[in-house]
Amino acid sequence: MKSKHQKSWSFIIFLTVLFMAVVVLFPYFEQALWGFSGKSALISRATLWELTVQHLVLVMLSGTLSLLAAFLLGIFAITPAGREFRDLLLELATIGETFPSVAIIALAVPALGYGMLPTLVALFIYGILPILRNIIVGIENIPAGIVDTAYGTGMTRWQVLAKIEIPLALPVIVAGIRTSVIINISAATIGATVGAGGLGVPIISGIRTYSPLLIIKGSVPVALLAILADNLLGKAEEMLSAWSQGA
Amino acid sequence: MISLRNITKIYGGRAAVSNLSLEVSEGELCVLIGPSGCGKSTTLRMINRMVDPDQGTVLVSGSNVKSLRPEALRRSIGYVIQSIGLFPHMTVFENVAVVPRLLKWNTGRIKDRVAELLVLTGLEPAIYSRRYPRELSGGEAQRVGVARALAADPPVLLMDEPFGAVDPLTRSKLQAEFLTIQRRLKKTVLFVTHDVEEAVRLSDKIAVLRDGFLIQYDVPEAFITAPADPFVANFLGSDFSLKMLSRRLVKDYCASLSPSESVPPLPRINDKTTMKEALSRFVSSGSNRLLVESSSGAPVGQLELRSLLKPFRG
Repeated sequence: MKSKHQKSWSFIIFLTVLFMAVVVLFPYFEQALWGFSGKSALISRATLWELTVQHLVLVMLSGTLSLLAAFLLGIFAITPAGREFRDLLLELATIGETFPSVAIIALAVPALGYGMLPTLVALFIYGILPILRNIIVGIENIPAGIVDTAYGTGMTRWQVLAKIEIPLALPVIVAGIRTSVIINISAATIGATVGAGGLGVPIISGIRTYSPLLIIKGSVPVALLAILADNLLGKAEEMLSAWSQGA
Repeated sequence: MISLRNITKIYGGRAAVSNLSLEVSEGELCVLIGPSGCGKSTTLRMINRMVDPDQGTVLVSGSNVKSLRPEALRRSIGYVIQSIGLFPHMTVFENVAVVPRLLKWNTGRIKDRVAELLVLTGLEPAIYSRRYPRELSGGEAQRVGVARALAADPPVLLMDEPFGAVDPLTRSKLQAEFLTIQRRLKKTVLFVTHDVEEAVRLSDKIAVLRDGFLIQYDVPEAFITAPADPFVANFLGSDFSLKMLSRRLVKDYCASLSPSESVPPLPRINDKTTMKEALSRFVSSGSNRLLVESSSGAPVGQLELRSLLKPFRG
């Protein structure tokens, strides 16, 4: 799960600048190509900036909810009462990852209608799985001697969890968050098909109108966003893993 | 102080500990020894309720441990295990401060106590307080483990092969230091090991276990004169008497030099070493007398070969 080469801050800053530049400058580029009566202006009323914000809201909102749900489920799964569900949850997490997000969105529409809600729900469910798995595995992989001594010093179950298990599993948990966020940044583009907005809008329009420029307009920022999130969370993972090993 | 009464623990239909009774008096260091799987660790863990017995009662300081909340009980019992279990994301200071913090001591008191314990275990607080476990050698980590167990000044210490994971030289040093600490603090200690030499060196009493049964419980000397059965004799080894020599210090057996006498030209030995090391020196030097010197190198007496033959009384 650990990347071989260290993530560098300068690359992260470069990606951020590049991303901002694309979002801000693309409309000018587009204008120059199409003129004021350009095709894209008719199809997409929202600016690229607005679409980016929509996209980020979708990912962050669903991501936060996924994180909360994953924590609750994960902590439940490692309690004696939840132990029976542990295997089932891990199994679900694995199946869930092979299940296409398009299918979840498609299934959510009849139940929840068009718009942001079905997309949010789909991303939320989809985002839980990698985090949940890493919470369970991360906590279970802490050396037994450390947990044993923690109980031996007289910590309660919750103190062991809060002071020892979660801090030590944090790098693994963040790796799960990273997977979850990256998957959802790309999966959120599909939300455009059901009216959720986001960077999928120009991509879908571009496909419909055979316009490579529109496709690029949506896909380049999405790709950059995913790479940026990957590097940023990768950096966090590195730093936490150094911290939890006492450096 | 610690009293185990007819305790039995069954794992998967097999008794890990069978009807075991054991009394450890206050201030005594009792070593539980036996081959792997004999139930010594399980016995230890039933005292701080890391494991609950299926039958029998465990009393610590006169109260039945079952009547106490496990957390409260454990905060009053020091616990050191082989893998030490130092928390890697906490500094040495934070590791030692774990139990005092659980007991909600105020920060000033915790600071003083941690510094005191680091000094006691031979770690300079200014150097070690802010280090992380991975920056420590095996021996230093073990010292921190002991300091942490002693943090809240518990009357009882449980130690499960605490020096098992370090090299022999460091282990011997740690044992000597621990003995010094134990002579000063007089804790009631239950100590698990499979190393006979360690048992002999540290113990006031030795309990030999096999297959969950307590075979023999007595002072170490008794095992020379009256081992309970061939298993015990065999387990302790045919060189058990030699191991027993490591309980004796040279300074207690040397004859003083008369003031007028000039210092004889003999092989030298430090007065703080054990009689076992003295024996080795006798063998290596071929001399039947050794000159005993203090740590500063001043001669304090001489040691006769026959002083090794003083009988052990069980």
